[in-house]
Amino acid sequence: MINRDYAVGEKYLNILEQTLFYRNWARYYRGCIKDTALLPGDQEIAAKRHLLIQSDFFANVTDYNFELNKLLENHPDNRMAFEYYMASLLLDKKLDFFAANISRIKNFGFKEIPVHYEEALLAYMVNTETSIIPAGYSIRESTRQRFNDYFKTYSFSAGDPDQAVTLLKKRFGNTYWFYLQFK
Amino acid sequence: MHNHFIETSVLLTVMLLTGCSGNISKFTEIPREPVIFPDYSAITIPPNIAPLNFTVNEEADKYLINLTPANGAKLSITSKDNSISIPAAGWKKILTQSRGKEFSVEVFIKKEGVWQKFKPLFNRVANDSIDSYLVYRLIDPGFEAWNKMGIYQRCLENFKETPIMINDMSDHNCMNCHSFSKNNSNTMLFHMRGELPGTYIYRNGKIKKVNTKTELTISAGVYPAWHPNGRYVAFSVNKILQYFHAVPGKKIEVVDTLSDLILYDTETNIVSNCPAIASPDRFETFPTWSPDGRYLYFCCAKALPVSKYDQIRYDVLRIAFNPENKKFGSVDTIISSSVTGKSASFPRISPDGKFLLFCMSGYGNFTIWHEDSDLYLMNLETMEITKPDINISNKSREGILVLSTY
Repeated sequence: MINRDYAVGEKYLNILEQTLFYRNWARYYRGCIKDTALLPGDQEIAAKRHLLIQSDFFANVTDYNFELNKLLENHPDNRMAFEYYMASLLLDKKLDFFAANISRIKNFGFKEIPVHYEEALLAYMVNTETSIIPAGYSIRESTRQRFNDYFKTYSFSAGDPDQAVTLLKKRFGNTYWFYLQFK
Repeated sequence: MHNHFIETSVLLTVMLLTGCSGNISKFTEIPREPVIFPDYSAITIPPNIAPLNFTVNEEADKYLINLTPANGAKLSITSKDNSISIPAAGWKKILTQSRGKEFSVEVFIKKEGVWQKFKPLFNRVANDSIDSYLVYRLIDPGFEAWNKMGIYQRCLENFKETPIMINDMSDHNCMNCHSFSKNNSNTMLFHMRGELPGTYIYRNGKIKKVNTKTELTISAGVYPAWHPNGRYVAFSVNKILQYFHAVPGKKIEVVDTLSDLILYDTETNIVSNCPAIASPDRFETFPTWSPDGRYLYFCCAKALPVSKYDQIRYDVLRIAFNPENKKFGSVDTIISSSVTGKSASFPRISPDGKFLLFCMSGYGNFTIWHEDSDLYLMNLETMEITKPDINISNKSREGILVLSTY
């Protein structure tokens, strides 16, 4: 339906209409297929159609960073693609690329820097001795304090990695610093 | 009372003239042919094919179909809905009695108590039968993963489908590329992938499993072509990648990044090739033999990177072959992409060796995904290329026999 392939869409609506939980949903969209002028007014369809790709590329599940960048090239306002891209950089520990893209958060209407982005930024800035906080944003005082506490706790391990995990996991196991250091 | 009796008698008489006898005496003519699906009109039918059931895409309360053979009594079918199922025994009689000739299809519809009749359709029955069985793989329509699949045979004389091999028995692995030597069920092969990988060769009741991969070749054999002598098999060996297009309207692209041909000798278990069919800067694929086994036809393109996938255009070449000493000879270009401006794929030579049937599309070789792919015919004596009237529309992707999608 997003791609205007209504015959294919109808095939699956036929199936969903036989289910308990999607029957009404399917009936609604069947009405939209009968009168396709209704579809642009459907919020979900309109939002997805807005993000349809204009400049073709190959999607290949082995290199999703490339594809996420291509999604952003096609639609610089694709917030979901941006968030997935930044998440993939964090998971892959590619902090250089993460830092190179952090200033783009202002394009997507972020009111403040997300907590894990703050954690990654602090780690990057300490490592590189740079300051790259995007203009108009700041790092929460609570995040800075937790960062200091992390290093203080880590210092008690005296360089023993197993001891460090034991000391840090309970309080900091859900932080990006713990992931960066031990995962 | 007397009048009522007469009216009832007349009514009964009229009713007796209609219905299952197929004799409708009162009807109005519709001066056009009926719309039926599939469009079984003006076609040539094999004498041994299963009933060609169809739907009548005309609104009505009742339908009557009369099939009238060239010699013999007509077969009448009535239906309350537009789905027409032809009884197998009656159908067989119609085809037998019309062999080499035409039979007619009359379609009547009843609307608001009135019968109407369309212009009749005519189909011809060939003298020659078709092979009784068709073999295909059944797999859920997915792109990356699979669960159940199998290779099945379907009797074309009835609707019976039986499995040859199903992956319930092989840990739900993948299998395909079934190929029969001279269309004969005595000798065939297929590939299994994933669990229990290899090429399984069946010959006269015995099965052997071979691994056609060597250190010097790109992969195990992929697309097979049995030599007419039933001893050799030409395979492509490929590194094949599948991609998904991001734009609407285009789905899949299957691209070779490496591709050569090999010759496998089923008696000696030896794989061989020659530079002309295994060049590092060219893609060679889709082998197919001439009926006399003296030529191997194949598709060949300049090797380009994946980023230039839409510039890869395949020629059809053929290389001479001596089956006695397994030596390959000189190469001829049969279809040049620089002349046609298109890319050729899936070449097949007619059994009499006179024609080459192939697909052509804008680029590439895995043309089941290319909407612009159509079937073409080359007369191998005159080298003239024609486009037979069996291609359907821009929205369809035709192939040979079963690979036709809508």
